[in-house]
Amino acid sequence: MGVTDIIERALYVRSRYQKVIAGNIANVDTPGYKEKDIDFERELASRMKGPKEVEVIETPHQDGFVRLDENTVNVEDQVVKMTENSLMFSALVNAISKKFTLMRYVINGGR
Amino acid sequence: MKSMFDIMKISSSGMRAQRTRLEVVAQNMANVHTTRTEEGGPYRKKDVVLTSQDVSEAKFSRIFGGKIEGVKVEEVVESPKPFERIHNPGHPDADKEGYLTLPNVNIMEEMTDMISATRAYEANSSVLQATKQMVQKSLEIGR
Repeated sequence: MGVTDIIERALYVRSRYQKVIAGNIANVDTPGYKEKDIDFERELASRMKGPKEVEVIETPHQDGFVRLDENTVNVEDQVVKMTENSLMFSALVNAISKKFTLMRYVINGGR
Repeated sequence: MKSMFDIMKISSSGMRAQRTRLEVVAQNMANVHTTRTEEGGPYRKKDVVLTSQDVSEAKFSRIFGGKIEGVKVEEVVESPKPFERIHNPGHPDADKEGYLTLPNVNIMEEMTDMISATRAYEANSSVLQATKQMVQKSLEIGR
């Protein structure tokens, strides 16, 4: 598997992750909504073996404080996850751009 | 890179804790004159108990000789402070002598709590922004 393939898969999982986070933030006031999450490393490993849908899991509740409407979304946590996700997405995009720059260099015969 | 995201987790746990404090302040302020509750008697002021919590997942954070600690809302407890009593015979909840028992909420105390929670939230948010900028800068290495 080439570098481009690996990065493409990682980008795919990152974009799905962003979707899950967006869903959580959108449902911050939906009564009974449970925060969703994905295990990034596990999803990436399983996509290395073949195409598979990303599995969304419910975040285990770990706060000593429960909201009356049983909504478990932690906004600050989601914002941090979103920031981390978008930064890692940028890093991956940088990596794939470098790869293409290298390819262009070769195509142009080192000029 | 993982350690940078651990710092962000600490900031988020701090923001979360301060938000909970603010929620409790709002609840106390709203109930400053509540004389009837489900448990009977006037409203009791609520307090937030915070504890430190390990947020690190990366093994190398053990290099520091300890764990990376964020904060966690342990529980919300009721304040044991005595209730305030005022003379108000016209009130339906007043006792035989005409004294009304009011919640043990002090508005001034709540105001200072509110300000400190807001400032602490801002401080945590600043750390988060700074960390984000550091990671963004690191993406520019070798450009």
